[in-house]
Amino acid sequence: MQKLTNKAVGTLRVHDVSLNLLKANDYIAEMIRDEMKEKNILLLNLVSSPGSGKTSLLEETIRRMKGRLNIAVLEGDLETERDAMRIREQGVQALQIITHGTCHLEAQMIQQALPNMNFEGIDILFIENVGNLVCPASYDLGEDIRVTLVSCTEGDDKPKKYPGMFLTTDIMLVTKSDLLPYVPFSVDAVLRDACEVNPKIESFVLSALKGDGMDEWCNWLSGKVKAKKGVNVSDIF
Amino acid sequence: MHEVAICQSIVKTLGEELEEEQFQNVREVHLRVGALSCVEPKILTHVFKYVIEGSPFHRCRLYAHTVEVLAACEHCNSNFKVGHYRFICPACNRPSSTIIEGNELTIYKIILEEPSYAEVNQ
Repeated sequence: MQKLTNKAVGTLRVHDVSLNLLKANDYIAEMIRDEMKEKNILLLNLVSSPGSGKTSLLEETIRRMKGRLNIAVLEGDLETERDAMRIREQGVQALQIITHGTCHLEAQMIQQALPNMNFEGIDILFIENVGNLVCPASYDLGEDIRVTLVSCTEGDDKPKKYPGMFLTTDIMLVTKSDLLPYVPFSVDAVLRDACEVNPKIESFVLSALKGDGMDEWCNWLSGKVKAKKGVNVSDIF
Repeated sequence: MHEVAICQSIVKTLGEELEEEQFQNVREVHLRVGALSCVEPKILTHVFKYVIEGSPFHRCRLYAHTVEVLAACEHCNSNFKVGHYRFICPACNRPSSTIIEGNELTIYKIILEEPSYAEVNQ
């Protein structure tokens, strides 16, 4: 038999706390960041709407970097292993994370996938996030650089419509630039809007299909690998 | 869009913070939801009811308070409110995206009901 309480029924007690709901994710993201730093691997998180060309960009980047830099890819999708298969056809390591309906990748999913990859000699690890411009913005995956793609077929109003994503983005890539003459898309407008949301954002305009702008992108990427490793890239090439 | 995941995270956080015998006494949980957190407070509070159904927290209500975006200007050292995602300092008209407030997604208050006479003497 418990002791009687002399407290009035229904007394409320207020607890002032400060509990971050994304704390667990951020903690794991830091662990991933530390691991990648130790391995000297540049980690990039690729985000965009579905169909703006993340996988095509990766295919073309891998093709151009062959023999220069070693790339590995983690693919995130709701279902199927199709993207990972496309990447493997380029002769590089790719692992598919199937989220079964979850609209974003979380740091824990990356952490679980990492031990299944061989990082021997790898310079860059790309994470291709689930196609979605909303939720992936909230989840740090331990990346060094967040890259957001905007294809010119989806419209130049994306930065203002999905500001959360562009605010947390380091690089914006305007893709499918070969279609610019055929669609009402203003590169100036998208750059201006993106800079208004995030003044620190850098950007490239490119076409993975025709190759325009790909050299600049690849050179920039090499420079980032160099900075991460703290060595002269000309020694590698 | 990922409000269910956030609600599950709330339940998990409460579970870690409180003692098990306190679970059923939680009446209110108050959240600070930054305007930049990509979470819709109304959907959050709605979804929460379904997430806690059948759990020890089933008598808990969620209150989500939106926090406006506040940025600091590195050029003129003033703080300014950011409306419509325009990160431009109204004082000096230069761009700045150093965010002071508006990113948070935190529980800042938990209200527990003290065990009632009946509960204690079960």
